Amino acid sequence: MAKKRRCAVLPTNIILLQNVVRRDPESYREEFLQQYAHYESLRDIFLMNPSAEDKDDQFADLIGFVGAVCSCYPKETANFPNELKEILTTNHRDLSPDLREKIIQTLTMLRNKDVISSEMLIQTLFPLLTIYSRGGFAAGQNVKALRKQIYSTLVALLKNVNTPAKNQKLNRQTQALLFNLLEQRDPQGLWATKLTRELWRRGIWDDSRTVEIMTQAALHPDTKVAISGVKFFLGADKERQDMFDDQSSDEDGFDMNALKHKMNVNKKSGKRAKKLEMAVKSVKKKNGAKHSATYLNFSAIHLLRDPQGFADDLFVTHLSAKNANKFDLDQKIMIMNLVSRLVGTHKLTVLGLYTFFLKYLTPKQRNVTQVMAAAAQASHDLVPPETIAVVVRKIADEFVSDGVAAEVASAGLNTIREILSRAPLAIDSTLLQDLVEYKGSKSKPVMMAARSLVTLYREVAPEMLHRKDRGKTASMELQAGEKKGLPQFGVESTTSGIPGLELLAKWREEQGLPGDDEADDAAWEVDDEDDASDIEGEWVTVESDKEYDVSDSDDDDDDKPEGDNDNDENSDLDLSDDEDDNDDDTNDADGDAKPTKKRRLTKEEAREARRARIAERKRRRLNPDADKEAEPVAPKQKSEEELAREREAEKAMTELLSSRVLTPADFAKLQELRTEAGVEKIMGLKNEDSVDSDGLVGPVKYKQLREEKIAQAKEGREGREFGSRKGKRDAPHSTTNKEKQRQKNFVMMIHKKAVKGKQKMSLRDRQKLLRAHIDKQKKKGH
Amino acid sequence: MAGSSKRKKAQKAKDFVKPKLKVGKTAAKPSNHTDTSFKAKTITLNQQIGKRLTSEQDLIHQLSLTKHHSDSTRKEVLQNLEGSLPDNPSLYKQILASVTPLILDPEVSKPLIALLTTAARKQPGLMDLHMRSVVLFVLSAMSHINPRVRNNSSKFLEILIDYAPQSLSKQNFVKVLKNYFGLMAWTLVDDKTQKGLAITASSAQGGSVKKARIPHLQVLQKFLRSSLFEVTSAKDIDWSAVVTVHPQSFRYMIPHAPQPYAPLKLFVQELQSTQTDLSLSDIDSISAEDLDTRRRVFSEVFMEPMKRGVAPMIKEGGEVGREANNLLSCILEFEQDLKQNN
Repeated sequence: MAKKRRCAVLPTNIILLQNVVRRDPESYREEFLQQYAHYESLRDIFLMNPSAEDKDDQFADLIGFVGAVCSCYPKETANFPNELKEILTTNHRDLSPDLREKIIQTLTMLRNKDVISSEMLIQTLFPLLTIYSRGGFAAGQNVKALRKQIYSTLVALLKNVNTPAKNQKLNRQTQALLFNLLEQRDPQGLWATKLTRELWRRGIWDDSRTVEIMTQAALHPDTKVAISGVKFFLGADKERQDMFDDQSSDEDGFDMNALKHKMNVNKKSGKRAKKLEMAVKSVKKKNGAKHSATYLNFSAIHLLRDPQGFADDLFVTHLSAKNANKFDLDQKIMIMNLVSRLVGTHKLTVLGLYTFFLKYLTPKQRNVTQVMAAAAQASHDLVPPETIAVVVRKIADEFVSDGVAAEVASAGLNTIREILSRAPLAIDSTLLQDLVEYKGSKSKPVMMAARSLVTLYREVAPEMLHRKDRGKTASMELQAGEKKGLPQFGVESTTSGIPGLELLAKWREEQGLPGDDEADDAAWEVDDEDDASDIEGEWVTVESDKEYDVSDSDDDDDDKPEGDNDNDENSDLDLSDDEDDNDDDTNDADGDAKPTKKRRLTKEEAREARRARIAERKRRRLNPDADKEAEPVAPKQKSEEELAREREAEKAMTELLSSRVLTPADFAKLQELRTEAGVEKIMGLKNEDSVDSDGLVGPVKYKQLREEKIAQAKEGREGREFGSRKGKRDAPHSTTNKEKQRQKNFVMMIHKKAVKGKQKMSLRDRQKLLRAHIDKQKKKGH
Repeated sequence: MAGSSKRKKAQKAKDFVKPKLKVGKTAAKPSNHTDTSFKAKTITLNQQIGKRLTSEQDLIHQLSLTKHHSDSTRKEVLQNLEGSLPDNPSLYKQILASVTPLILDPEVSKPLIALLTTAARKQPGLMDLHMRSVVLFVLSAMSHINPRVRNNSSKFLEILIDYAPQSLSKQNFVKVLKNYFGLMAWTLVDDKTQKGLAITASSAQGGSVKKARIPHLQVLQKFLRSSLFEVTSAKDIDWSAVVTVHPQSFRYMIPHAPQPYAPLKLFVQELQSTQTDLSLSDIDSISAEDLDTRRRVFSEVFMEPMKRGVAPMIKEGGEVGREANNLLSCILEFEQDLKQNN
């Protein structure tokens, strides 16, 4: 008998066979062919009667087997993927859920082994995602499971394909499929939005084509699809950011340093070394993924190809006339929010929008603050003021009167302020002066809101305020004739060149720096961490310089508020009644305006900003015309002096720009100088900031319940003890000798020699003793 | 009595108390009574379905039992069906549809073979009609991974050869032969590297597979004889004796073979499998409808590999050797026949 080989075991089940075939495809070729023939016969049986209800596990097993080993026999199984594809596409209704799942799995596996292309897989699977939408095939087909499987397969596939580098060809093909899906105008378009949102969230798709898909979706006639698209524009970037934050924040259980230390200390073994290696690899992988070179972080609204057209379409198809009826209020608000964001960000003109808001601007309207926020976002300086004035008037009429609750009035005033800060011309002085009268209101939020309005107009157009409201600085400027009337509609404050560059030129001149340090390598390297501390340190020296130079009448006054602010962050919110104290007032009003911004300033930023403000004030006092260059002014009336100054700035700029290349170090310095000079603030509010609807109402304080009051009082007393410490011991112990002596009965003690002896001592000795005691008592504390 | 407890006294007294019997209540069991009752989850009756099937409903119920999980039940069902096959041919489609998948069931092969044989004998032409489905299952059995299924496969093929030789060879000649190569662990291509299965299949499974080769060889010989040699049946009409409009008109009449247009595959969905090596891919697309094609295909593709495969079996001797020898003589006979005709 021939010698039996160890491997000469004919496997009787498919898993075993799969294992041995993978290990040694050549020797097991015949077995494979036999199984392949069996697969073919089972396939024929299946095709003969696809709807047979036999649960044919064997067929599914064989498909899995052939799929798993088919890369070993590429020639024999050349047709296998196509057969699977055909079975899936023609018979998907008859397939049992298990078999269908197996086929999809196998196709995915084949893709992973590069047997079939990604395009083919997507083209096979994608139609199945939406195919069960019409008609009643759904029963008993496990459609949900099918869709879920296909959806996750597609997401995983696109993720894999795009990981090392973006596969633009495949992305474009898939996006074309999604476009087609959205063009069909049925609820299945939801899958397109779902897929796109997911991929955007993961940062896999981040180009304008992706955004274009979502614009299509947002304009879709189907409610769900449209809202999904709108949500994408409103929240997708935040979602994406959150996801990346999550990724970076979740640290795994192991500590790299600890592991390395263990490697040094413990016995060296292969297992431990491997563990360390794995840890290093995973850390590298994590860090690598975070800083992917292909990842761009543009927000979706900025990637729009035709923002004006999109905003117009969105307004016309979803909001105007009766089209809005298919949405409920929340959805309408979402769409309003999006349209107004678009209008604000890109400074678009959608004139119908403002009258549309009027209908919703009543205090009784549900979620009115969100509508108000949208109205504020939608206003900007390129809209004709009379269009926005209607909205302002309506808000003033509806919200700001004596008869309404304090929150309503403050919400109205805050909204008006937000609108006017974007479009200062949208109000006439009478109305403004009326509104400003609310600064004497007893309700704190209303008063704060009115004051913020005052502060705003002191900055923008003090002429529109009453004389008493203008404040010191603005009045002085007006008297000196520096403020040149109201801002005008259509005149934009354009910037030519780099704002604040003349400051840099001046600084360089003062420092006596040569004109050609761009060759210096150090100037090209900017260390982020060092930057902050540098600025801070340097700033202090500058401040002290100026302080000594000025030594004006009220320089003590200046120092104090700064110190106060540093100690107590909340002091900003406490308004002093002293109207004359101009500096303090500005400070406070700015502080009021701040909480309404979505992005709360951090402590550090707040301090920085305060310093900048103080510096600016000082600078103004030094030479009052310095801020003219950057201020938006009407071009017609310019004094000689001003023109000369402007010319000088221009000259400095051209000189600097023509002589040398700006290094990153220069830009850092420029930023610093600009902050110092307060140019940043004057350059104005960014339209991209969204208005926070919750902040519009202002800080609301309700009467506290008794329990709350008690709890608050207790909070302050934590860690403090009241009453005598007598009889309380820190550490448990038995009575000390001293205590025992003290507690001893008087009658027992009176006969002791130590007590009795005192009486018998000589006068001299007693005196000595007394003196010693007195000395001791005196020294006790030291 | 001093020393005995109250309890003992009471016990003793109890023995002498006469039990009270009450109307409507069961009498207390005596103290030496043994409880013989028991509980069982299932009750199995050996002759549950042993009766002759009368109505159509009965039959349909029986057919549903062919998928029963217990193999003994399946076996019984098949035996019952065999005993009570209906005369009405309309039911046979249903019977075959539920019975043929059992070809892949190793437990019930014997009663199934008996049933199919009986059915085919009772209803001539039945196998011709259901050739397509039955052959698919037989081929599937021939390539099955379970050796018991493979060993029985040739017996099912034998039924087809016996009762529908013409349609079998016309429609499935190439497929059957190819599957036979897999079954016998012969290789179609003469290649040194492809000897893997020849060793493993025969030696690893031991006796049963070796023994099964004997019927395999017999059936193969039968198959070759029925498909490669001309058969003259009584049913054929001598067209020269019949008066027709045109002497050639019989060529345009509908042929009497069942499903004459099946090879056109008009109403079936089928995927073409493509083999890579040239000769094999060619023969897959050939429809072996007529005798000449079959003969050519056999002589060009299958004959030499088959001779090569049979040679070691002849050397082995014994019953296998004798059958292998018979097969070889059949092949040689065919070769001579071929030479004479050319």
